[in-house]
Amino acid sequence: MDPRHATDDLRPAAGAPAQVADWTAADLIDLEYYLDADEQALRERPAARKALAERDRTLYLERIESALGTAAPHSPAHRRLSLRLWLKARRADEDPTLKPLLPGAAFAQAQRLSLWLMALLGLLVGISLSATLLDYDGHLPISVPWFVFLLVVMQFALSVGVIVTWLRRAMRQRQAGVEESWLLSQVIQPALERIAHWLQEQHLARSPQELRERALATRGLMRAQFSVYGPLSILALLIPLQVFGVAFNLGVILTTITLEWFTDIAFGWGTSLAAHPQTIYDLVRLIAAPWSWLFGEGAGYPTLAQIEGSRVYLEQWAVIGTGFKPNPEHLRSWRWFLVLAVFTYGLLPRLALLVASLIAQRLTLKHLTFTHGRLQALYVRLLTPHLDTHVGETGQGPEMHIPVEIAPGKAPQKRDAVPPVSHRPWRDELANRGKPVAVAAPVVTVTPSVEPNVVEPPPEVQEQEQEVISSDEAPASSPTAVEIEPEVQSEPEPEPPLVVTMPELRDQIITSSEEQEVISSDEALASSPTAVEIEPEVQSEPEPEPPREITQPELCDQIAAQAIIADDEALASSVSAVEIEPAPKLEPEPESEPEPPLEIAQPELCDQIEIQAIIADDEAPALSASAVEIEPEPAPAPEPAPLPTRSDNATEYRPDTCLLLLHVDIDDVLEPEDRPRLADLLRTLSGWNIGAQATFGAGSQMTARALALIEAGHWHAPPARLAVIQDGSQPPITENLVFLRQLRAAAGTQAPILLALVGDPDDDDRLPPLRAFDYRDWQTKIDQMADPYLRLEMLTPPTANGEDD
Amino acid sequence: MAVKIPRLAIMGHPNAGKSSVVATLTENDRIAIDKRAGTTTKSDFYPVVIDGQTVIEFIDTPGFQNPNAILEWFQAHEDKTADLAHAFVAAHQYDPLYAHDIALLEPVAEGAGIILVVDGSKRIKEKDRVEIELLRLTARPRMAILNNLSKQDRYMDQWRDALSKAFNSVREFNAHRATYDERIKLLSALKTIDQRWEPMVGQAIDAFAGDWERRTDQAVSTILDLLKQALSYKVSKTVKSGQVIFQSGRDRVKAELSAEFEDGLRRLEVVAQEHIRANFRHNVWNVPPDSVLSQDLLSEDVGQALGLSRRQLALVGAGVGAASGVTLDLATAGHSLGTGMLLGAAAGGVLGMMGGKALAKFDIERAPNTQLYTIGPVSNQRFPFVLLDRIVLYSARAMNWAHGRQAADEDDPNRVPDRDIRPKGFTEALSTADQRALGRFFNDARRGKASEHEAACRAIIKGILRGVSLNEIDSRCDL
Repeated sequence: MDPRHATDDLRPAAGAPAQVADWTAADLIDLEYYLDADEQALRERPAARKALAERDRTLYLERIESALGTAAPHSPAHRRLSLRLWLKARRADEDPTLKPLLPGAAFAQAQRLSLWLMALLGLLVGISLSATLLDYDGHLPISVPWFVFLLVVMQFALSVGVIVTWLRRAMRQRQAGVEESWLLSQVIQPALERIAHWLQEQHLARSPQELRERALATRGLMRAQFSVYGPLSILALLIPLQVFGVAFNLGVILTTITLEWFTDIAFGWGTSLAAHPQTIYDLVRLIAAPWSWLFGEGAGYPTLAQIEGSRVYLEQWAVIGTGFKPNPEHLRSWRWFLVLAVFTYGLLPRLALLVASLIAQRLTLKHLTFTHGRLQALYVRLLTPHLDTHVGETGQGPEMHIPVEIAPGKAPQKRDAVPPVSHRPWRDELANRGKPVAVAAPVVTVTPSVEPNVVEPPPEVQEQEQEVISSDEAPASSPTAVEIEPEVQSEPEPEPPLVVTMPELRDQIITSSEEQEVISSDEALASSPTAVEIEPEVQSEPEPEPPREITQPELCDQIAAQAIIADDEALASSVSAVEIEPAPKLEPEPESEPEPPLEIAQPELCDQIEIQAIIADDEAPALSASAVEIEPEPAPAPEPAPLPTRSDNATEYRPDTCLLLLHVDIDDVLEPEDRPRLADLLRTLSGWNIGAQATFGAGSQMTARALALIEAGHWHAPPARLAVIQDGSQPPITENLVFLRQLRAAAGTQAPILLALVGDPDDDDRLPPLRAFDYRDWQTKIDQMADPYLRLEMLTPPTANGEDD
Repeated sequence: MAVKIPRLAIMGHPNAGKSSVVATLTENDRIAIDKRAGTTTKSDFYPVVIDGQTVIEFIDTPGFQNPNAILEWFQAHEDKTADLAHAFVAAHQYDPLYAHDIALLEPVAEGAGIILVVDGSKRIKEKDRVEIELLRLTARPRMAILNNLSKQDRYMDQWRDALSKAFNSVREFNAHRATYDERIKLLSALKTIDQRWEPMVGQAIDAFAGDWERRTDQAVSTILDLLKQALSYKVSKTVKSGQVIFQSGRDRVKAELSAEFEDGLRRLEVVAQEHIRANFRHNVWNVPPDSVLSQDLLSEDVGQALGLSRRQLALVGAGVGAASGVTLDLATAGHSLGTGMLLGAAAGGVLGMMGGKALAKFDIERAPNTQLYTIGPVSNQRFPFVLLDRIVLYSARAMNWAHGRQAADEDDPNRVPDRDIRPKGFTEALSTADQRALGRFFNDARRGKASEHEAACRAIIKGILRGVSLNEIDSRCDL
């Protein structure tokens, strides 16, 4: 097993979280390598950011978080450990063939190799140097000063120099870079780099091409790593240096001892200067101070006599046989001094430096904050929850449904069925809000003309209604005709406003006649045998109203109020349009209102009014409190507007008039002065005058009433002519098209229908032109309906400059 | 599903801007949005997935097609069933007439909360009231969004009144203009409409915030990289001496070289913009043609609109110059008695003031037979500030550009006007100290060395970007 990869192996779990080896220099290099690879990918493909975020978050969740223990995120411990685990995970994911090529591994290997090389080199140099110095040929003794100077003083000076540099750097807060130490930056680092490079090449030679390229791309990283972690990189270089020093000293000591053991070496000293042995002796004692307590004079260092005796005077030694006889003990007395000096001043400082740099490396690694920019990005990626807002499920659904044509027979059928009920409190609010007081008067004035004329209503419609009414009302209609009569008297008064007024003065006559017809139907019914059954229905009509509108008990007030109700829908009915009264308010609900009819059946009118007032009082607070609760009572109407139907029966459409169907949204905002303009615009567009008017768009009852107006109307020149005014600023929806289909079914297949669109109303213009864009939107949908008699127009021609494309 | 995640159906009538709201909320501009109505034809699900776990789900629905009919049906069946939406879906499932209505009510039937989107610029129509009422009848947690895309705000109070009666929460939200800040606020409001959602929504908000922080950091890195690259950018060309004997030949070489140099700078900017754009997840986005961003980087207009004023530039130059002067003083161990600083300040100031019109200087190295023409690095003092302003402006746009804006009708006369501000860069508004820090960083970058001011600049730029996203600094979207 290659020891290089042992770094990631789990240690026996000492503490629960720290299950992974702590950072080493090689780890840092690999970390930087991976960071660099990621950044490279980002630079080439910005979109990779998402993938990276995803990958790192997944790594964190799957492999890192569980091993983290209790460290809080963003705490140094958490950061340190999670990055370490990230590196481990990244390494584990690495292609096995590429693993040994990781720069960190290469670095670790290079470092190890260089350590050995340095040790070997140091040993060799030490041996050879000391062997050279101690080479004794038996003539001149070995020069002690030379030995001491080279192997002790020089070495000691170097060590001191290193320590001083180190301290200086520490004091300058590590600001000085690598360049401070020439030896380190210029010699050791390139050498290391060279070795690492060579090693990588060795691996690469046996690697496939793509691996080779990838690994080559990481070349140059090595250099960058040294500068990123400044102090650490120096330490990484300092350690081999100390190893060299230690090995060198060991070599020297071993060689010296060996030579001293196995050979006889004479040591001596000499100088050209006038040095007194005493001076030398003092020097020696000084040098020997560290060990003199252990090895005293004579053993640890030579005595004064021995020093004197080992002095070499060249003239004595040069001439052999002069009788000069040096004492051999004096010449040998230096041996242990030399060994101890090298040991003390060479080996020990080096060892100390080695240990210190190892400790320093450990400390530096321990104190790395892992907060520089690139790491920060990674750490954030690890911690940030991965956020994905992809489209979960999408696709094309069916296009907007274009309703199929409704067969003409189908529509009435539908109307006979109970139409859906809808409660719209807001419509009452709207009505209340828009009460125009002035309009009430003219409407009421029309009333007198009602009673005298009695015209026979179209029999078939009447029959139909009678059936309906009788079936619905029979149970409730116990009162006698006599009792009912006065009520009938009172009824016509509210009714006329519901009925038709013509836009122009000359039409007034027709209007009155129409009204007469309308009323006449009531009258006729009243006088017919079925009158009794009908009356309650008629009578009950006002009943639902009071709760909504009327709070005053007096009759005249009631009449006025009803007139007002009538006007709510068509604010200016007196001015122009024919107004069909909004049925929702008048519709009785027999099922839900069993009480009112019973009470109202009392003969006296005043009583009835009182009751109405009571009802009104009861309902009023509830109405304001909660709209929904009230609604079920007054509004539900089982019939498609019996009253309007009857009035429609009488609606006459001359050849140049049409039925105007106005969407409630438009109707709500139209001011009285807009009505003539609407009529003008319509005339310009179609040549039709307005024969009758109805609103639509607020529920099926309203629709039913509108349809009834068509079917029951008397068209002088059939087929029916319909003008539909729609708010075109809203895109068309199925509902609008369904309504058009219903109109078609009611009016017949060849009846011309004009669909005129208006824009979104504003203050200055309640009938503004439509934006071309919206118009096109409608056009596509209308085209899809494939109705040849349906014409789509803009009510108001677009302005010349055109606000929209 | 073990934990019930909040699901929110975005509802409203066609063209109310539902898809825009979803796109903006989920930062997804791949959602099909069209000015035309009815673009969304079925309910699309847009989950927010955090670490593989869905925490919240938005459902983009088609518009109501038959609101009146639905309301009437609801009201008719109100007493008969507690879950109207469910009953309606069950009753009309196969009716093509209600295809869209079913699609949009289905999530509600399954328990989704409701976000009603209405166009607050329009008058309240009958249809709107019908929709409000029928959504009220569904009895689901619900919130209304007033998506007012125009400056028309006279109906807002009416809308508020109408909506607040039926909805737990009513919020204004412009899907085309919503910034990060507004998005987060809207998400926070979701907590209030159903308390049970609080943890999940909170988680989603945290995730969005964390994600945003990360992206801001990335953007700052991209900006710094761009500055470093652009300021150390050089172009050189070796020409034979024979080609440049005459002035015309030399001019031609110089012109070619400066064109290449300028193109290189532009390319660098475009690449950085791409990065930022990808960073903020914009796929569909175009800068309007009249923006400073779509003009040439080196044009006079851009130089006028962005960067520092002449006076500021002089101040910064003086500051940076003084700094280099100080190093001169240090080198002479104070023997120059501060004259270095004065000199440096003066020189820097003059440089800043004059600031050389030229973008960069030419350098010609002569060798036998060949000459090496080099241009760069950028020596113009103004340029880095312009470049920085522009890329920050771009980032600000990217950050604040709502993802739902793709279909915005930019020609609509009624649209919300981008605030009217005088053309002014971001750097111009910085304090002089900050400007100097930037200036020093630029100086170092020119020399291509690692700057000790980089961290400070990172903080400054991040401050700007954060301010922009939180609406504290005007994003100058008009520029």
